[in-house]
Amino acid sequence: MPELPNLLRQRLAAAENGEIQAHPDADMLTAYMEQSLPAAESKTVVSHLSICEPCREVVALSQAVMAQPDRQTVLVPSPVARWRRLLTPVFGAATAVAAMAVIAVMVLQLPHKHPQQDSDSATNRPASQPLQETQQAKAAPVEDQAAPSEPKAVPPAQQADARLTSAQSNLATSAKQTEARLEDSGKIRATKKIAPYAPLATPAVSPARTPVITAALPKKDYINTGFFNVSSSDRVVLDSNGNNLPPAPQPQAGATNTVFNTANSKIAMFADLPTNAAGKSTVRMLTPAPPPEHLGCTVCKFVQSTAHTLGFHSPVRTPALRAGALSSSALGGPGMFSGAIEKSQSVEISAAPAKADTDTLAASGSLSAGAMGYRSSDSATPAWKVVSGKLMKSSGQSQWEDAYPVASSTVEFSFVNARGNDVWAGGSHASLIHSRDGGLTWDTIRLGDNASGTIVSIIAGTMSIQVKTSDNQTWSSADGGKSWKLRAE
Amino acid sequence: MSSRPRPAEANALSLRALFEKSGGERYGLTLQAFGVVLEQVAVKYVPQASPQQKLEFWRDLKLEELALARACAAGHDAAWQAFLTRFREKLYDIARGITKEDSSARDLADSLYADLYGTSEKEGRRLSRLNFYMGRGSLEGWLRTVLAQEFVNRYRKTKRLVSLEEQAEEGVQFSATPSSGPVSPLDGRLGAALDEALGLLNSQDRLVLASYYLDDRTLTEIGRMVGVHESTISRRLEKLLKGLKKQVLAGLISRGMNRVQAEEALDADVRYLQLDVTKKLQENRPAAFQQDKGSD
Repeated sequence: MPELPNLLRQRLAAAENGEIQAHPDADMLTAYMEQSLPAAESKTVVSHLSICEPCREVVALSQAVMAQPDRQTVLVPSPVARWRRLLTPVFGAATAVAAMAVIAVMVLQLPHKHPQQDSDSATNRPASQPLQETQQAKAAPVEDQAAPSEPKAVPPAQQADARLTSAQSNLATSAKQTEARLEDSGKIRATKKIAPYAPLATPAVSPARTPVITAALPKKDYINTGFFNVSSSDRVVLDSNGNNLPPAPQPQAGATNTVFNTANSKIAMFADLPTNAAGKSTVRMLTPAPPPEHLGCTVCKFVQSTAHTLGFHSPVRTPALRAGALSSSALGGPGMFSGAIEKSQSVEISAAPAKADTDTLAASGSLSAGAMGYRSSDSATPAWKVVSGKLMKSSGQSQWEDAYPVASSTVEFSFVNARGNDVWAGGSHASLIHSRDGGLTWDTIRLGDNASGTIVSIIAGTMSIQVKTSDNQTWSSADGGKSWKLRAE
Repeated sequence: MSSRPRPAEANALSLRALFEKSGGERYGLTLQAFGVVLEQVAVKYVPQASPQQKLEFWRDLKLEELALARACAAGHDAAWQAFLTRFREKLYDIARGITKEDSSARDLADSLYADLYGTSEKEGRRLSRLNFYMGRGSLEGWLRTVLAQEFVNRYRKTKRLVSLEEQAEEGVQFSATPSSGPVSPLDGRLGAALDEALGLLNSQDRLVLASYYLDDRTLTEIGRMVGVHESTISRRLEKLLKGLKKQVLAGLISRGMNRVQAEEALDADVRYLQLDVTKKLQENRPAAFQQDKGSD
């Protein structure tokens, strides 16, 4: 029926052009629009409107104006309380962000300000340990990265002058050998020369730093190369500049027994371990128990991660070694030991240096802070290393500190394995310590009565740990270190 | 012993009550003048009503606004002050709502204001348009209707004055001359059948159809005009079309067509219909709303 509307228009228009009665006056139309007309009159008006286009126009116009809101009506918003004005989505979002930031800061700081922990830390630290030593230890790694042509004044090592002299001569010889080797292989351009070893006493500083050639030098596997061989010069380890490595904090208490006498591989002051490793002893805690996890630890982790994403970094870095940092380590993979590691592989992470090769390392310049331990590309992640039998920890910005400043400890660390806050470190006489909080507190782990040798490898999983010693002993634990079994090789 | 008031006295009492209700005294209107106004209204709308019916009719009037309008028409200053205070700005607002444009709205409102004040005189008396207000609806509504009527009258007058350029734009000179060719034999029967079907509709349905198909009004506008919701108008339109088709088919069949022929006739192109619509549309009805002016 497509044409019916057209037909309808035609006929309706024709009807409208017929005889039209008198138009209703304005009063009638107004009363009709206001619906105040009696039914009979209203019907009359409607009948007229149905055939009168002008009247329909008038009614439509008038009703359109009637439907419009009165222009003089001004809607004044009622006064709103000030606090209600804050209830805007933007304010809500800003408040939420601010609250998150405050909570993040509080959460990141609270766990490290545990009073018991602070007091215990103070107890464990030798009371007489000077602050300067710590600061020097922190500053030393920065110096380690300097070019080898920058000999610097080393903090006094007055007790080992004679041994220093011999070590320096060895280092100088090794540096010359390394230079000659590099020149032969053509890896060093003419403009870049390895400065010959300068004696420690020389205060001259080279104006131009010679680039570190660590990456160009083949590194050695310091794990299985007689690393723990006894050497009379192990007391002093020089870095690539010929400087002393960061001075480890000198144990003060019981100083008479704190000689790092590794010549006889004897633990003099490691009170928590038996003097005779073969003997039976009880294992007790060297450090207080970690502070109990405060409420909402899961929430804290989430907030911590959120804060890290937002850029709120805690001033106290949580010691953690990322899995990626281990990927190219001497372990061959994250948390894994790879015996097939190439000895020529250029690795940033390595185990403790072989003391016999100290001179070579120092001369080659590869003995930077990061070359001796675990180091992460993220400055916020603490790195771990073993330097001169000391367990060193970096809290960022290449500042290293003694991570195990126990006065009574005479253990010479040889290996460290860090996985987040879970840190395992081992050393001579099968000494093994464990920290679950990134080095804040340490537990002394006793492998077994017949454990011997120096720990050369630690493979730590979540609950299973495998430790190898230089005596080809392999100790494994499946319960996080509570009990150990000796595996026959 | 109290005697019942006679009808004349009762009417007088009622008239006084109405006068007091209207508040005409404060506009300078007298009771006698107000009675004359009421009688004038009754004569126009209920000429054969009894006094009681008139009284009932008067009670339904907008007495206060009626008194104000008639006092203004009589030239009382107090009334004019009240009128201007209440309606001057509204007058402009209404005109703006009708014309959708400020300058023409002010022109329209000013011309009406002049008519309301009375620029012409008859027998020494100013002829105010407020004399035509009868109080059936509100004074504001009456002003709105009068403004709309004035606007429609102006539009219809100016619409006839089309320039040659506008005619050229509309293509008038290229339009085909009205043909006097053969008339389709279907025209008479189809038109008669449709007229018959339309005649069966009530006035409100015809108003809906005319507003929708002739005036191209929206459903909302039609609903507002009829006083129902727009969805009701939509349903009613659909129902009306179905009913019309049925009625037209029945009318065509009753006029000698079979069903197929009737449906073909209904679907025939409208151009074949010979209707003298153009001629009827050109019929001039210039004094569409001049009734009020001439009645006084």
